[in-house]
Amino acid sequence: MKKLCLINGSPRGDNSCSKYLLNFIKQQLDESTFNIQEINVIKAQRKNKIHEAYEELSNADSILMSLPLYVDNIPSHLLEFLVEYEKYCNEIIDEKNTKPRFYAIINNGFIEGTQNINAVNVLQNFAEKVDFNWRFAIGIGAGEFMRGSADFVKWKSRLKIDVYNKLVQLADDIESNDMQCVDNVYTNPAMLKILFMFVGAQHWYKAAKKNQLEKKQLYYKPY
Amino acid sequence: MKILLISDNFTNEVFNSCLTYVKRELNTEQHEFEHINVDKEDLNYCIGCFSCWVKTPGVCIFKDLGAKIIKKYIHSDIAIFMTELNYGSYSVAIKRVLDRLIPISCPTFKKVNDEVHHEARYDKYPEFVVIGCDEKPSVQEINTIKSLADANAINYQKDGATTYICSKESDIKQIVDSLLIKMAN
Repeated sequence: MKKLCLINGSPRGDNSCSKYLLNFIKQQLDESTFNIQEINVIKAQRKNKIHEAYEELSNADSILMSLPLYVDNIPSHLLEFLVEYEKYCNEIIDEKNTKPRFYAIINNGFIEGTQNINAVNVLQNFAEKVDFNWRFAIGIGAGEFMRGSADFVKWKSRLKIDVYNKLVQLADDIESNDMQCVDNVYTNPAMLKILFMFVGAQHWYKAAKKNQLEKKQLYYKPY
Repeated sequence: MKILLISDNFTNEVFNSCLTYVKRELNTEQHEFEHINVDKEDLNYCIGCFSCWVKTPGVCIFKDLGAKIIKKYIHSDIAIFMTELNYGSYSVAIKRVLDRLIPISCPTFKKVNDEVHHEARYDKYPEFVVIGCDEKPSVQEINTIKSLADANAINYQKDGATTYICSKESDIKQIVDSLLIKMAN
């Protein structure tokens, strides 16, 4: 049975788009053919269970990391997780002959999936350092919209079908033993930018109103 | 000109020596200079709570070094991040600082180069400069940090970043000379 390690790299843990997308991939897989281990990075760091997490990573046949984009890059707690893993790899004697297949899903709060490109490159550089077999990454725009609209916009709707197809492609690649190189892919909901900006602003105004703030107070300059 | 230098607590002797040189050359009577040495334990990581956007706009919930840096950053003319590189990214400490700077933007959107980005909160932002320290960076890592720093600068309301790679002690003089010319202009 192949070992698949799913890594949730969101600081928000289970309450995140990253977790939502991991669950989607899990649903696409024939779970009877995989031994799936899940790592919630933030929880492992808080509970001092990093060593156990690194052992899971080292024993995996495939690794899928799902994370949000933080300032054009991976979040700082996840960077720390990777840096420490590289040190861990350098300390242990590696008796494994196979490199784990490594995938990533990165979601951001803008509309363009392409804005994830720098975070993808950072992960690809990391994979090279620790000798993982980089398969490919999917960069997804409007991550919170994808999760927030889950109950009323279907996956196969015109709006989400391209994201759906790319995620299914990733799940298929995990199930296969295909070694052919695959390019990183970028996708987002099929929405006009101007509409995204309007809907996004309404979302933030609504969130502010819940905290008894008016629109103009969002632009306050404390310094 | 107000210069804010934010650096790693370097353990590498070569880069520590480079940092000493940078401080000596930039801390002159001509400029107002401030240096903050950052260790990752000095500040919390951003937890993505968005309080700084929708509860206390512009103010982070964590009252630590990260919050102090926001104020200093916004009042500087040039911000220099001197950092060790990991995979073409920053050090963990400098990445924490950058993540914690998000209160300087507003949650709502604007377009820059036909891409969606966050609106500015302030009228003026510092120039964004990165000195990436890595003894043997790969070509991909160099390309990554340059592209990443440019993207960061755009999200922090500038047109792009100035990025230097420091691999050995002899690189730093040239970097500082270039910086001084940039500041003179």
